[in-house]
Amino acid sequence: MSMTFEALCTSLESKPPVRLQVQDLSVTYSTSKGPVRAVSQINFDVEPGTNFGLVGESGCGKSTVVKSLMRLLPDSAKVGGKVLLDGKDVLAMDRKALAAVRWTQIALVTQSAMNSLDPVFTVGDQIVESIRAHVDVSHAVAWARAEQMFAMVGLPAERLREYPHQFSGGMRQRAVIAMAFSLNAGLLLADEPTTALDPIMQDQIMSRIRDIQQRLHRSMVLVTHDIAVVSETCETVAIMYAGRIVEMGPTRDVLNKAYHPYTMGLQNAFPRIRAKGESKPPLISISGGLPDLLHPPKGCRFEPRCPFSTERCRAEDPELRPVGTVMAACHHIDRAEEFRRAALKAETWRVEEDVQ
Amino acid sequence: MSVETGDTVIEARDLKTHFKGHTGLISALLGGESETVHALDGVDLHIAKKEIVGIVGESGCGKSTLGMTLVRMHEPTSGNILFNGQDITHLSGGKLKSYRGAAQIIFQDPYSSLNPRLTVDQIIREPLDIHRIGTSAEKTERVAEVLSRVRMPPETYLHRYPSDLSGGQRQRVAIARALVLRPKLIVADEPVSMLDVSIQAGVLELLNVLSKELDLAVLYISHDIATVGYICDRVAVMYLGRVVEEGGSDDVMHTPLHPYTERLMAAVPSVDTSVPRQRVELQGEVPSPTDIPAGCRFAGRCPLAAELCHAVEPELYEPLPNHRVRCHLYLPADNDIPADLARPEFPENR
Repeated sequence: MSMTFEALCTSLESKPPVRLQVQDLSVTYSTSKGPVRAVSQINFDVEPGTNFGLVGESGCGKSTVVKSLMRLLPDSAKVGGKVLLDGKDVLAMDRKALAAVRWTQIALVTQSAMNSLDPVFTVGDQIVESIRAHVDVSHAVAWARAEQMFAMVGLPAERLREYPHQFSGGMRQRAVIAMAFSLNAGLLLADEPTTALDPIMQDQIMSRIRDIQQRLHRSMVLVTHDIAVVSETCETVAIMYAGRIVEMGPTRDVLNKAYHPYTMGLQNAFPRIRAKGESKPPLISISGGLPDLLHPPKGCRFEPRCPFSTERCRAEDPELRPVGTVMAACHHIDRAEEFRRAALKAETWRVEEDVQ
Repeated sequence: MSVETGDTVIEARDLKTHFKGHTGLISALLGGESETVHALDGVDLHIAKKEIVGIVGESGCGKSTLGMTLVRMHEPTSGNILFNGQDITHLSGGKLKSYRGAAQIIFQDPYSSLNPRLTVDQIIREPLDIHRIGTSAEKTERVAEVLSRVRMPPETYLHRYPSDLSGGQRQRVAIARALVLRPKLIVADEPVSMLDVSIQAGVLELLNVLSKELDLAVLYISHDIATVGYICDRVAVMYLGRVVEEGGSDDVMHTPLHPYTERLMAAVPSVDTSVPRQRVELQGEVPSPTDIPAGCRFAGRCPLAAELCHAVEPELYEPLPNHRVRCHLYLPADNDIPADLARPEFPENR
């Protein structure tokens, strides 16, 4: 006997949020030129019911982290460490256990998720299929759940009968988000969920995600390059650079009082809307580029681009260590106050006239 | 922020670019009419020397079509384009070619806009070859000059291939290629949206400096409103093929007049969360450009829309000096619109 709609909703809503603990996670891709360590021994915890932001630029390894949490990496990638979902290691699960966890415990929304809908089935049928793959309910009950999810993301229920091509990009992305929420997974992995969309749509979707996460008390890992979105969404943030977490802590603290020069540089480079009457601050870019991960530098990975680097930075790789309320991987956290002042000036960042 | 005007480089007058949409085979055989996409539907705009004008709007609003029409990559359906006061709307042949030398475009994706099999030297030299400008030695000199202008030392970069370059460096090469013909107008269509945040600033700053140093008029097209505030002197907001608000970039960003601009600005997330953002949900979707509604194009989604808005399309009114808006909220007192149509009113809280 399959569940009624009410029973389904009750069982889904009583699901607890998930605690995620990532311990010593490393990912190495083998390439024709040799092994590339895309993620090096990162550690972070997502407390149940909180939002965790993972910020970095392309190539820093943030999407690799997300894929390894879902075990979506190709076989050529060697993954080490532990990914504990409420204490159970995802990396050690067999296929069956993994299938039971995906979508019911962890759901994923990616930047290109809108293109993941199958063109030959209606959107409603696809959501129903994903629900019925995991819980024993009738088509009608699953359909009712899909209608409920559509309402939540602001789509009219009758559009469930339409095909993906009849949707605009923003509507398709919302449909995928509805699907990701349909089993009320305890942990949502959102990898640049709104990057491909317009600012207005971006804002509407992010505020819906925030509402739902808060109302249903879910956990989320939000991957983005947009520090403003993180600032509005996440309690905790980790800044990644070249496969490492270089700074991590409460979002407010990291963004107001950064200890790592990369975090300071990222904030300078981030365009924001000035307050009325505020003078035009210079946008300052960080010269240089990401290090070659085939041959990572011996010392700090940010050293070649860092305006404050010293002999020690070239020789020794800094560990992530606690300072105040945050953690930072920099040899000179004791000079952070001085760095923060210097970092606001454009000339500080003109390391040389080499450009990126 | 206003730059000396009077040196208008490019001017669009009631510019329209319509495209024929697709029809199915059956309907074509039966003589069915194809739909017309009103991508650009009556735009007036001018850009002076040393001036950077930003175009913002959602995707599909016609901002790229505007840029491509100005450089004559799309044929305008009606209206005029004036370049240094001369009508170039219908140029063809050799004259069009020389116009294209003077009006250059930079595209969004520096990974696909550069030929991977050519060196930086060959990429930048190609326009000179096509336009038969200079002897071989002069060409070499010009290539080196523009590379220095984009701050890439020629001796280091001349013989590299695009695959050896980072995204920011590739976009600089694309800018150098656009500069080599010594243009007067540059259309930059989302030039930094594919680049990482830490290097966007360098490319934007470069555009800014070049515009002032080389007397360039620049049209900067972007959906990222925050970047517009850094380099643009003026901003035009587009909605469904038309400019709905236009003015100095500070004025438009801080005192938006049009209800649409207001929502667009409110949608930009902020790093500083100590001041809560006034967020307003916008209902519905942008109407299809094949089926433009009567009246104001935004009326269907506008919370303030009244009877008049659904009936008559507003003109560009100028309620504040040099700040124009296409909205009936700012309807001047002396108008010839029938008084029985209900006017929209400002909400009480403003």
